[in-house]
Amino acid sequence: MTLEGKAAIVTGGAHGLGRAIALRLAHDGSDVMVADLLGGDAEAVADEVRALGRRAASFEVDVSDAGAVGAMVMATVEAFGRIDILVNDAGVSGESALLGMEESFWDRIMAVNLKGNFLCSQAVARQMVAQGEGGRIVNITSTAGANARPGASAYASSKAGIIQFTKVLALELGGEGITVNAVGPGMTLTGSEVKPAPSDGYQKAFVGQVPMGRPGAPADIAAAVAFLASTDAAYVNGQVIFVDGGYSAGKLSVSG
Amino acid sequence: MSFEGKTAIITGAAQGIGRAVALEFAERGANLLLADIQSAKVESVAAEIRAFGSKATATAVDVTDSNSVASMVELALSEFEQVDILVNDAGGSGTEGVLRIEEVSEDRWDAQVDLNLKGAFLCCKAIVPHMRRRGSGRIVNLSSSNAKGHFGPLNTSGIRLPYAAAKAGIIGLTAQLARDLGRSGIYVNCVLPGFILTEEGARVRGRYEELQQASQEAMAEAVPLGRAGRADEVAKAVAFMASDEASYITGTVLDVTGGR
Ligand SMILES: NC(=O)c1ccc[n+]([C@@H]2O[C@H](COP(=O)([O-])OP(=O)(O)OC[C@H]3O[C@@H](n4cnc5c(N)ncnc54)[C@H](O)[C@@H]3O)[C@@H](O)[C@H]2O)c1
Ligand SMILES: NC(=O)c1ccc[n+]([C@@H]2O[C@H](COP(=O)([O-])OP(=O)(O)OC[C@H]3O[C@@H](n4cnc5c(N)ncnc54)[C@H](O)[C@@H]3O)[C@@H](O)[C@H]2O)c1
Repeated sequence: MTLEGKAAIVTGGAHGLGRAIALRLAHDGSDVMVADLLGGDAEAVADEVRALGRRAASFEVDVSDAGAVGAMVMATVEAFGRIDILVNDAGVSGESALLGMEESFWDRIMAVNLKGNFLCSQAVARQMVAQGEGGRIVNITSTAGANARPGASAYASSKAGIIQFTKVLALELGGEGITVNAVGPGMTLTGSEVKPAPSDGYQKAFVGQVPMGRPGAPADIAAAVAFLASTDAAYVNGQVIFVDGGYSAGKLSVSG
Repeated sequence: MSFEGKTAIITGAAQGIGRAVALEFAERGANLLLADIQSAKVESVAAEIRAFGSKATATAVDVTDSNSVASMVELALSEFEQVDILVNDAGGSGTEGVLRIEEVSEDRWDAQVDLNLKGAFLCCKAIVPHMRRRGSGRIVNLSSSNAKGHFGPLNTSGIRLPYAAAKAGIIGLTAQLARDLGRSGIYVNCVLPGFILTEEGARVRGRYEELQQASQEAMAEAVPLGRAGRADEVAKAVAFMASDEASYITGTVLDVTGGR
């Protein structure tokens, strides 16, 4: 078991990719704190983790609220005595073209996706440094962080911000033995209860750009996160792994 | 993840990173065809692996020679009937430090690009028809942090300019081939090592030991993790990219550089 004896926090762990990641880390041997805006749903995932034989806890948190994030870290240390792994998965998406965008729309996406990542990384990294045994931070970005599309200026900017944030933290925290990396999912069908699946038209158009010709599944993403969280990735630092069926490798050519 | 029942061809397996990949794959249960231009040395790696109970056959290959590559693939298929994984590791910038473009003769350029880029192309070309027929396969290419250009002294690099160009070419080969093979069940990815200190006697270790202590320290300090990487750490990343864990990953580059 590659993560035996480790303790992880997964933000956004109640649904979608975060839930799949929490269960995968537990499967690999880690105890898991499931942290989410939806505390009740997070507790249900914690139960699933316990059913895999690991210790679990849940915490209701808004990752954009510094006080709540501090409390999440304290609760995790109380539950497991330590934190080895942080997965920053909590995120919100949404489409809005610039000309009609509400300021509050922009602010919310930045607050959850980028500031939330900052707050959780800072609070957990301080704990990891105090422990003195290094650690692993894995951020969830998106293909949107490196590929523009109309209507996604807020979301894509927040995810591009996560990529650069990851790289800077890798430099700052490397000396502490903390690696910081990111996983960039392409379009991934999660069956999430809180997020509507993309429309059939959008799905079709997106998958048409994917060399492998299928959308991603949560297990595809969770496997890459598990690799980065493990000792197998000991010398991998500051990297983004796009788990996107080849989408980022280049656009399909338009034939004609 | 286990490689039980899988067969892998690993080029450049006589020493360094290729050898570490061979040992990692053997530990995971793969059957191995180990290929290298140093035939005696690669045979001893195969013998070492057989001694702990895995199947490994060694063969001499020059990856820049298409006939030699074709024989390598034929041998793998006759020994193991199938090939699931190809690791294109054979390569390197040589042991002679060459810094200035004025000293890069056309012959040296050609030799570097042949070894570091054409070699990977020839091996892919030889194996893809087989993988296509089976509807599955995994190819992992080795690039280098030199692909992005390095500033300052050569340190452990040999002839840096054509090497950088060829290793950048590996990234393009990976991206295009992955896209071309997208729906064939064949995955193509690339691992990009940084400063990796391989075992005693291997090329990079040898060049490192010739450096002044101050240069050695500067090399480690330039890495955010504060140390050189080990060949086994690159091997684990190659194993991830060669495994079904990388189920939706193709056309990517995974740096194993400690953050550099
Ligand atoms: N599914 C995809 O196709 C896809 C593609 C690329 C990137 N991503 C990214 O992956 C992550 C997960 O996406 P998903 O598809 O599973 O979404 P989801 O909406 O199903 O799950 C997100 C989870 O985050 C929680 N959350 C939202 N705001 C929060 C906050 N302020 N504080 C704490 N928790 C909060 C939600 O309650 C939910 O449980 C996000 O960062 C998303 O941007 C998803
Ligand atoms: N060690 C590092 O720091 C480092 C960094 C970046 C990239 N790399 C890359 O990783 C790979 C392995 O590097 P290494 O440090 O283990 O090098 P190495 O020189 O120790 O090993 C390379 C192997 O390839 C073999 N080889 C050379 N020419 C060949 C040919 N024509 N046909 C078949 N085999 C041939 C050699 O005999 C040797 O066994 C290379 O592609 C190298 O460019 C290494």
